[in-house]
Amino acid sequence: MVSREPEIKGPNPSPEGPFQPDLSVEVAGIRMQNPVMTASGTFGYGKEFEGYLDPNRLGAIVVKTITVKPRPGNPPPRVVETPAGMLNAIGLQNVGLEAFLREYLPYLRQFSPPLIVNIAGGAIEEYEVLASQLSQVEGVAGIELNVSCPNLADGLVFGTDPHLLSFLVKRVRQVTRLPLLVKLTPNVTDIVLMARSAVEAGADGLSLINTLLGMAIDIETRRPKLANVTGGLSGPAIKPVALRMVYRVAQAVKVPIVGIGGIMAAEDALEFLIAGARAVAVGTANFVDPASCVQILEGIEAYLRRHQIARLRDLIGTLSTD
Amino acid sequence: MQAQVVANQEISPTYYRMGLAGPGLEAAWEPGQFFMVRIGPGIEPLLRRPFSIHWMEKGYLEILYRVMGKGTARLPSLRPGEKVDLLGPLGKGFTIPADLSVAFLVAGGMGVAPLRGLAGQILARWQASGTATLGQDRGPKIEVIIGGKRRETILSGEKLHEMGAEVHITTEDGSLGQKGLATNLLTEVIRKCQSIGSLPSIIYVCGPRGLLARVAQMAADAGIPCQVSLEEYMACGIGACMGCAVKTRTHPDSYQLVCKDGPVFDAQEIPW
Repeated sequence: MVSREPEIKGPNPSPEGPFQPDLSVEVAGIRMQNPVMTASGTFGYGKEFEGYLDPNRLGAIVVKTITVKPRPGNPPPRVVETPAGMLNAIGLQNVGLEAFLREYLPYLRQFSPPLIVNIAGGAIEEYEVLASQLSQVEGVAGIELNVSCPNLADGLVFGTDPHLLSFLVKRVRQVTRLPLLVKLTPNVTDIVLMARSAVEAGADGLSLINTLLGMAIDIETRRPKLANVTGGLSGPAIKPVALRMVYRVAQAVKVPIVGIGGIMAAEDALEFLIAGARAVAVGTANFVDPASCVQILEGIEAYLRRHQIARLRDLIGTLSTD
Repeated sequence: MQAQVVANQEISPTYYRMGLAGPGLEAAWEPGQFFMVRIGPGIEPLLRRPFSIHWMEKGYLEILYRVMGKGTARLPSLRPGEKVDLLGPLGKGFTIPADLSVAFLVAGGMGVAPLRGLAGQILARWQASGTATLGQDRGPKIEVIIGGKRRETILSGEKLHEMGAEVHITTEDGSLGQKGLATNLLTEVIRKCQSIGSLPSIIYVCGPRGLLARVAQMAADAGIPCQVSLEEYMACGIGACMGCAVKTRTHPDSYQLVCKDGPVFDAQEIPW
């Protein structure tokens, strides 16, 4: 049997020093010192993690979804734990573009990792406003489109219709030169179709997956456990689903993929990287332990050392199916 | 932060008191603040659970808990010596007015959890203020009303009594203390205060939302300041998940967060 072990080469340090693997990656033209990013909506605007985690250790910072106008979000209860996961229906509560630029961006700019701003809108024009304004300010390295919200005009969720998705990405593409990531929803019949659609329309990279739709019921009161009735499932429960989707999409498109879904530990992140993700984003784990991203990063580094892999790049997409 | 279980006792059926020791536990804390406790190292249960500070001093934390669901069901099996992962102290706690003379502390069931720490801090601040040593006054008076369904749900009454608080107990079935609701007793006590023209400086309340709403109304009617400690489902405890939303009068167009803006709020801030 032919070994598919990645070759050991690259910037190996002096013989007496410890083996220092190169963790850097490039995603959609964004250079990162390592592949560990934060998943949108789980890292707030960064400030919440002060004292728990040094943002400068991250590969990239992805902040909570911004909309043009502030959104109050959904009434509580908004979160509920489910087996090995959680459901959330926050309702995109956020301060709006203006307050983000004024109050949060200056704080985020002080950190060296690239900042990726996740945006959402109920109409294509809103995405355009967000993308073009974010392109004109200093300190934004890329844009991630949240396409899991319904288009107010026809009620369809942008990310579940390949034509609508293509139209949205093309329009946003025209107003920004910033690297453009599209965060795909798993609530579709064929995610590969959506991935191709986004890439053909000009996406520089794909993030997947967003949460899976789900619900939970209190049998004593016969009421839904979330005020919104349904919500998005995240956490370890969705990891196998996410992993398969990342694997399938990685085989179908050429752009870099950010793997997301239930990454709690370095082992989970490594699975995504081996499946073909260029980087990973950590979500629900940030809620369990605010230092998760750094622990995962250190675990990845230890794995590379243990396997004498000089560059993380040499590990990506090395899944052997023989 | 890691802490070691030093005690984990069932103090009443399904109710427990857990003592934790750890060098990271600080002497500085606000009563009403809470800790997020990791139930186990695995992914099931996944999220931490919030617990009020029942008592805390340098290197030592005490919490009260009730076995309710799959998370708390695992806690009683923790033995002294075992490690528990903690995050905290978190949130904004009760504020103690500098000129506090009489405080009413009202608890519904488990709502007594943060009130013991509160009583302790009220007394500690007075002792630290210097007036205590001068012997010019007898210190702040703390009156506690603990209400519950039956005697098993009444916790920490003795602890509060030992601290010097005057403790009144009500149970719905009359199995302990006065029969009835905590609010009935509070109505009586407030009426008495009004008749002698001396109202309490403040009412602190923690318990089910219905109790909070009624006490808030009573306090407002009598013109007594009131602080409430709220509860809501939360995933992180640090303001990142935005799960624990609460409507407040100061932010009518959005939501505030129980974990970060609370859990203690001025009663008038909440649109009951």
